[in-house]
Amino acid sequence: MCLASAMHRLLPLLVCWALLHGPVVAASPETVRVAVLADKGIESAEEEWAGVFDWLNRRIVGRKFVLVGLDHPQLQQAVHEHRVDFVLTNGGNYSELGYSEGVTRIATLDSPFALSPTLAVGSAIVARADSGIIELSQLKGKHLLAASPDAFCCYQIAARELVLAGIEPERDLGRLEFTGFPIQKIALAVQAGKADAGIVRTCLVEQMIERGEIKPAALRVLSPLPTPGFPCQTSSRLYPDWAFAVLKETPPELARQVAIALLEMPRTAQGYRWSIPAQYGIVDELFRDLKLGHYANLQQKTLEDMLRRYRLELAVVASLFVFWLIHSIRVEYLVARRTRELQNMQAEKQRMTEAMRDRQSALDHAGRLAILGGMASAIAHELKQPLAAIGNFARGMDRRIAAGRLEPVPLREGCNEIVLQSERADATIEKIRSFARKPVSIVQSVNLAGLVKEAADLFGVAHPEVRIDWNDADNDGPALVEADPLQIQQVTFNLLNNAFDAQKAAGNPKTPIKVTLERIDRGYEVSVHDKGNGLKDDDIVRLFEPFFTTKADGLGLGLALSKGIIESHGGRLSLAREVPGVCASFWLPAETPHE
Amino acid sequence: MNEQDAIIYVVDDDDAMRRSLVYLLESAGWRATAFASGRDFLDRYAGHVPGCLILDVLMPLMGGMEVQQILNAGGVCLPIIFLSAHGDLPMAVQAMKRGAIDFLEKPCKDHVLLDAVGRTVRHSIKQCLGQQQVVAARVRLDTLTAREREVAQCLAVGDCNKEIARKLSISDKTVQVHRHNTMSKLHVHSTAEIARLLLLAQTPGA
Repeated sequence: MCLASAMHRLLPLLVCWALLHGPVVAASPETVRVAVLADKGIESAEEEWAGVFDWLNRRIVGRKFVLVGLDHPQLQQAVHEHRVDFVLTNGGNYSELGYSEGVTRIATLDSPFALSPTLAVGSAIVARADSGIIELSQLKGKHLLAASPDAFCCYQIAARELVLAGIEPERDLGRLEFTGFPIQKIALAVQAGKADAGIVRTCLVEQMIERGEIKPAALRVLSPLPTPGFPCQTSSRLYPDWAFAVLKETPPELARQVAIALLEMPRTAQGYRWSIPAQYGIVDELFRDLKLGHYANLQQKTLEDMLRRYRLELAVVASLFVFWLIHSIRVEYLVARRTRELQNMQAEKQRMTEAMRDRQSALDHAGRLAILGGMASAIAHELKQPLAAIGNFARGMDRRIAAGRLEPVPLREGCNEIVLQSERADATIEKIRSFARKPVSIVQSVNLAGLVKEAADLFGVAHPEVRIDWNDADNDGPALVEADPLQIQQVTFNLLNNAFDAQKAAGNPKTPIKVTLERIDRGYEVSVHDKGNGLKDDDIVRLFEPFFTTKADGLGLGLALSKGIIESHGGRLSLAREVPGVCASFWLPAETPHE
Repeated sequence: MNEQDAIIYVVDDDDAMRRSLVYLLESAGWRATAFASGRDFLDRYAGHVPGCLILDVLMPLMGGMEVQQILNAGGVCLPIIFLSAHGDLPMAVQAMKRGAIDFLEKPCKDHVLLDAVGRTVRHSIKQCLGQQQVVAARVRLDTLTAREREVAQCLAVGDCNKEIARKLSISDKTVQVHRHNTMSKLHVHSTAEIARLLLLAQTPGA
């Protein structure tokens, strides 16, 4: 079709030539079908190539060459189905068919405009001379016109140059518009400014200027290549001209006849003739660059190659991805599970806290009973003393009376002593009873010093052999705290009990137990220092656990309960090692003065 | 020396117990003195015998066992009755080994305590009498010269005059003189009596 116009002018000549020689008529001519690429329509093609057909029909006797005008896909189809014997098509199409259908060129068109049949066809990419576009690379983002994606001279050739200039037509152009044929309208549209640039075949611009269809110097051919001897400016390298090709199935004799006939066809007035077949290798290169034609699947092939070539790496990546996926799922699962566990734990903790709160007073009570239990022998001792004394006085009096020694003074002394000792026993019992009674927690403002002193006295009563050094000399005024007096006394009692047990275990029960009260921070700290054997680090940590004890006969409740009590008062209970022994302390916040 | 001479010492830290024990002892006819602590007793006890010490085992500062040890170390032979609120067999055994006469659990029946006191006081008197004989023996032996004491020791183990003369490297005649003087100074008539006196004098505790 690039030569369409030229052919158009060639035609009358051929007709004349045919008339001169007269038809060579065969008796029963066998039809030879020649598929002709007819982008511009069958009529146009018939008109263009009539001379060639006339020539063939005349030269080859007994055959009738019929032009079958087809567009690109039709032609492909026809060749594939062997519905034609020969093909007359452009270099691009031929090259494609040569590869896919095995057609073989037998002649190449030899145009007077071409440097040679091999260097005949090219693309001119034109822009308005005043557009400022000079280089192909400037077309990025621009509006470009072309005839058709299938068009060899007027799109594919140019596309290769664009790609080589760094512009992927489909991607980098602002707009790629296919106008169809004729291509003259592309040149006109560009001149009219309807597009930034257009792709036309080489020499079209020159011809149109010559015919006066466009103004000289209105259009510029972009990135013109130096082609010495070539009369037209071209943006692309040059490709072979149209080919006359034969299908594999066509009889070789016929092919030979046609080839000879074409080569023998005389040059037309315009200078066209058929030449020996050109090399179409360059077309192949073009297709490869553009990944067109039989290279259309190159992209896919490359992907397959890549897959094959990098299968190890891909396998690694795939494994990593799978691993990551599994890991993610596992993490998700674990997070979900831990969340669930945490929620359960929190619920459990909540439940336990509530249960603890419910049982707190019961435990306090139980704790006191446990302490009392631990004190049983001490209590027994405390009660036995007055009872024994009473017994002694009574028996003594009895002996005096029996012996007739009835002096009133000693007898009355005995009676008074008995009364005194019974009262003492009663007081002891009352103390123990009030201590063991389940208390209602009553928080009130109390003097911590007095409270601790009282507890120490009570302890002294229960353990007469104990000595307690009470020291709150540093305090002037009452150490006021808001607390339940009974509970705080219980804690004090407990700490004293521990101290005493520790010293007993160490064999020095009579060493004074030092009890101090100090003002620390915004509160008061009561410390009980013993001179026992001390504690191991592990034990210090564990001592607050319920039922953990270092004593042979301990219940392991005392410190746990004490800690609970002190903490419920907003205070803290702590143990520290001393040399020798242990210092057990509890701190309570001072009463905030009421306004 | 008889039971009227005896004094019962009561050491107990509990006032009521102490006073009631004294009351009971006095009701039974004993002379009783009370002390609130072992230290108090040790400071004020002048070594009077006969008598007995009623000692509470468990007391602050100084327990009964400690008091016993101090008394033993000082060579005081005042027999002890221990009173313990907590029956403690090992402690009782130890106390008895150290010479305690009785170990009673508080509170004990009045007759049990008073029987123990009577028994202990009688023991104390006997001990005091024995002690007096020892002292007398030592006094008599102290009248001897060094040489006479040597001769007396030889006589006590049954040596004859000749053996004594050889042992002491003196003449038979000199031995006879020492022997006579020794027997007359000690107011004895036989060598067996000399041996008994020597043995008494060696009895520890006085």
